[in-house]
Amino acid sequence: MDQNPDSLKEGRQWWWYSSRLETGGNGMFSRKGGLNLRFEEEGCCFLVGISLFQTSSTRIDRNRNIFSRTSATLERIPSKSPRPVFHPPWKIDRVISGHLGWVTSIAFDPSNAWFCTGSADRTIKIWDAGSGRQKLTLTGHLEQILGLAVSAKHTNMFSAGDDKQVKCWDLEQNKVIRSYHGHLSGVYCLSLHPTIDILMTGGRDSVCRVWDIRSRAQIFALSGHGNTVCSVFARAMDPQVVTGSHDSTIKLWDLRMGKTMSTLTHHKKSVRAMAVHPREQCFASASADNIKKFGLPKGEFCHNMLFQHRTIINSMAVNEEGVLAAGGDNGSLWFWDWKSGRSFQQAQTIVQPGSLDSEAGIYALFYDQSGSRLITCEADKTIKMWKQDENATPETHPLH
Amino acid sequence: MTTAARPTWAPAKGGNEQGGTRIFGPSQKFSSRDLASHTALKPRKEGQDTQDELQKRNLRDELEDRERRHFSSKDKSYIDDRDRRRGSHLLLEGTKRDAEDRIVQRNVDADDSDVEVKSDDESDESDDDDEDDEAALILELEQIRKERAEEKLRMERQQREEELKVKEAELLRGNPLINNPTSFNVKRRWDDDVVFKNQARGETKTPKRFINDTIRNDFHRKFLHKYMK
Amino acid sequence: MAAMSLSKALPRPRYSGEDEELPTHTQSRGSRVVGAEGLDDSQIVLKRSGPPPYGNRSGWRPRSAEDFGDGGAFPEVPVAQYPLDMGRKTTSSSNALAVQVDAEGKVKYDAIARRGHSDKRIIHSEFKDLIPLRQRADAGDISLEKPSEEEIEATRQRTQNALSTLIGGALAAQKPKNIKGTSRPAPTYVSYTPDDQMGEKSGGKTRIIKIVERQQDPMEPPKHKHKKIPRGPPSPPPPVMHSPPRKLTAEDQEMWKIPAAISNWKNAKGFTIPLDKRMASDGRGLQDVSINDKFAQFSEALMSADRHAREEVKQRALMQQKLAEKEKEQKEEHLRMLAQKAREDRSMAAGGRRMSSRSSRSRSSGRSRSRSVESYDSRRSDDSEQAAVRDRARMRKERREEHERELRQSRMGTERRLQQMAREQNRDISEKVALGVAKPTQSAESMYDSRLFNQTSGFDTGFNEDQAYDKPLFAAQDAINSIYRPSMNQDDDGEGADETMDKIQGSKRFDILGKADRGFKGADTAEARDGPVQFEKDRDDPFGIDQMISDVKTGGKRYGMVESETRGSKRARVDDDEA
Repeated sequence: MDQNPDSLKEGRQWWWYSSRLETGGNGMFSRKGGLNLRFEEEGCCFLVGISLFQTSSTRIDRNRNIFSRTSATLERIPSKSPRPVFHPPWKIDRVISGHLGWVTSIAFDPSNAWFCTGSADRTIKIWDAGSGRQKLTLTGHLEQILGLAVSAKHTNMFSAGDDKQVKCWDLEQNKVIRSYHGHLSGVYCLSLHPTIDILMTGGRDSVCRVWDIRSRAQIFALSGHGNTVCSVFARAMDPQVVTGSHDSTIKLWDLRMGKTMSTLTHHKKSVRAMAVHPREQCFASASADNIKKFGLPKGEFCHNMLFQHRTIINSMAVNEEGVLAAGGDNGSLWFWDWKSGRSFQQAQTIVQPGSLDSEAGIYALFYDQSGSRLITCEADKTIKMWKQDENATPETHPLH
Repeated sequence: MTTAARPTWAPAKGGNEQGGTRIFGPSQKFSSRDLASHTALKPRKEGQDTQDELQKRNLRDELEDRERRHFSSKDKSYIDDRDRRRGSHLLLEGTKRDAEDRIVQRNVDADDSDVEVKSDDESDESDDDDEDDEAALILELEQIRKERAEEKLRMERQQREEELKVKEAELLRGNPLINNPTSFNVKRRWDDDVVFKNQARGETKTPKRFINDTIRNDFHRKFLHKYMK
Repeated sequence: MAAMSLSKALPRPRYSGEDEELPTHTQSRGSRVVGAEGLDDSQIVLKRSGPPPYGNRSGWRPRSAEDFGDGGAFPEVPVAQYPLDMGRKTTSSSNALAVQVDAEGKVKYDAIARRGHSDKRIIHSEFKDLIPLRQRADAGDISLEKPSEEEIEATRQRTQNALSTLIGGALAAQKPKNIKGTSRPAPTYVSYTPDDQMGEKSGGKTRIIKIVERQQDPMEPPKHKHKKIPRGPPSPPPPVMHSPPRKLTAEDQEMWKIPAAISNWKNAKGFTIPLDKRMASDGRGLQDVSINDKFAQFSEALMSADRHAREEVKQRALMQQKLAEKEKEQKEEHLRMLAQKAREDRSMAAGGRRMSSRSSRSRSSGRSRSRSVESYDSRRSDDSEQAAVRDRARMRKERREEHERELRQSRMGTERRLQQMAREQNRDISEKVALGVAKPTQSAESMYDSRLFNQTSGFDTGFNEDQAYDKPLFAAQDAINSIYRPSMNQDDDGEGADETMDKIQGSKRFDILGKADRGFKGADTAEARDGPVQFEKDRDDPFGIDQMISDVKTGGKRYGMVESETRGSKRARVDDDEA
């Protein structure tokens, strides 16, 4: 292996392609400068990549000569991906049933005292987080409620439903005080900006609308997606809005101009869920083919998750310890280590007695504000609270 | 019959122009919903969990504390019990078979002891009569067997007689139309498991009477009581 | 190359000769004298570059790119000029993008993808964008830390400012300030003093000008039509960063095949669909109907309960019978005791045949004449005791027989009972009367004669192909036939006028209407009656015995051996074949 020390200092390296690895994913053919390269990405082994940077002709020449001489025997290079961290496995702590339809959305109060869930039975129920008792039921929507958010700065809760309505509830009076009018069809996702008083909603009319909370005016209609916008989140820094859509693209938006900053087309199927890490500057996006991690602000591709969940993933959430939970449409709940991308637990929800087995499905997931409890909202009309197993140690649950 | 009823294949796409109608100029018409309302945003005040307050608290400990308090409290509603049972049921998925797997203690029955006793008897006898004549032994055995058979027959006969007697007694008494005059009324009403029952049944209704005096009839008196108390 | 290697091979010179002065005899002083061979390289040639200065360009034509200098075309030169090759009409106007090269000399392959966007725009178009970040060569240090508070605050400020202008604009648009026609600004007055024009001295007359805004009609429709502009072309699509979707295998396609939906209710185009396809979508084939075992258990339980109940009922009935018998026996005993007592009394009171007979009569139920006759005879007999004994024995026997008959009847069972009933039913009414079991009919409704119901008409009597109708078409055919129709032919002349008249008058046209074609059977032979009820004289021969006798006497039928002469004609019943 020939490594030019100068090139290392400059940050460039040539890596050699290793022998063919197990297939599981994409195959790509590319021709660059007369060299045939085959790059295959798979699910179980670590990735090896190739980058070709032509710096000066001499080096290329030298390279070419060297390649032609040793193309038969290529070495494998260990990947630089980090070692997986141990996380204790999660188990169900409590099951709360009270809704009369699928539970489709959830939001937590910033003080962790209560959480609210929206359901297909058109009600929003507020539950006490410690005891799981129901505190309040709010009605007002005409169809199922697909997006909920509780404001940290104001005493407001926001809800968005399939009936094109986006409502702002006053938590002191328990009633709707503002409505945001403008969506052409159902609203599928809702998110609040952390620092500015604006609200982002995305729906079936393929635009993400940015609303001013106070005056109920629509500031932008971020259009550009070709299909329903099914997930959105907002950040304090640029890009301030990130949307994922059923046309399998993710767009990063510049909020000041109302224009797309970048489009990520890495996914093959619709991006139904996204989760942004609370501390790191990266986010994960989930679609039915796999879960990918991207860095911000440029949206560069970090890596795929190491296994393929192989189901429609409806919701994802990540907590501060680096546990990413992904809930699927078939009731499977996989837990991933954020840093390495390894799945350390594959759980399956059990339907409550009286339901059909096909009613297993997770529609929404959320961690509580401390990151220690995971609440899942399911298709068998229950809300399940998951907790980490305290007795698990790296010895009892070894990383294999 | 119409075939025009179809789902929306391609929903309308929104946008700033939203279908070609851009705002070319201010219009004189505005909706009542666009009137200014709720123009002040209510921020969270000191006791309402503002972000500064929350940063100082440890939310995780508070949550665990609340859960502990809830689970250890005496006032356990049935929801929690059900959840607990269901929760534990779900945690340990294999424990459904607890009852069957439990080792049932065999109580030392009389049968076992009889078996042992009999075997002892026989062994004793065989020990004693080893030197005696085999025929006598055989005879004795047969006698014993005969006695046992007779006893059994007697027992069976007795049992049969008893059964017959019991049957006859039942027969005599068994005709429900004559003997046990049970009422054939239904023990359970058809609307027992209904959510809402007539809640005003026990209340007495005041009889409506007519008093031909506008200032002394019931309505007037109630009215005055209500508004001029 | 050889020189280089030689210089490398030799050691470095100690004396480089930089600060050496040439010896005086080699230095050139004085005027420069150039030889013939040195003429070319040292000769200074005055080379003109660029266009001639302004004014001297009359005959000059720019021919090459250098002739333009750093300027453009020359308007005074009447020739088509293309400085920097600009302005030439390209024969192929293609929107092909020229190959661009970036600052480092690398070809920019993603120029197409970047078309229409600014240079700062982030577009992932290279292969390296597919490689995970940690494995990229040019990733550098990947820092994923949170930005500082100041940065966040700065961004927030900027964004807030940008958005607030937009919000203000949106809100202002909602509330239009100047609504047309409501407020007209007050007229303005301007005092105008014209300046001196063209040397006129009579200027300076100030005028006051009133400027009024024209009144606008508030209900006026908009003056300009706002045309809808079609949407502009979208921004160029981003490059796709994944492999194309895999080809569908035949297996996969088979698995995902969705059959056509055939509705049980709607058929818009009116297709004729075979029945098996119509029912196929129900999912009938997918269910397996399993009958619960408990049905069988239920019916078995019912049957056993039924049997049980029947046995119980039987036993209860048996027990009741036994009880009844016991009671009867008791009663009989009681009666016997009474009888004993009575007998003793009678024997004590010796003369009391009457009492015995009375008692005997009282004892006998008096049912049959024979018994009464016998008791009558027994009364006449001398030996009262014997007669009484015989009486009693007889009575007992009879009673026993009756008991037995009753018992037999009650114990008979259904078949014998049926036979009995059949026998009873098939009895002639006279026998029934003789037995004394004749009962008049007790049905409340009136009895219908069955002859009323079986008349041959309607479809019960079967089809007759030739005659499908049961009644003639015109009931009053005869009446119609008797309508007088004078015909054209001369047949009528045969008849005299009187005859015709008689014929017409005689035919009763409408008599046939309402009259039946047949009268009642036997009604025509009956005599007219005089009075409501006609009595018949009763002849003495109800059974026809006299008639029988007369028959026998005259020999209407053959009774006994009567030889007849005409027997010979009868043939023997022997076949010729057999003979």
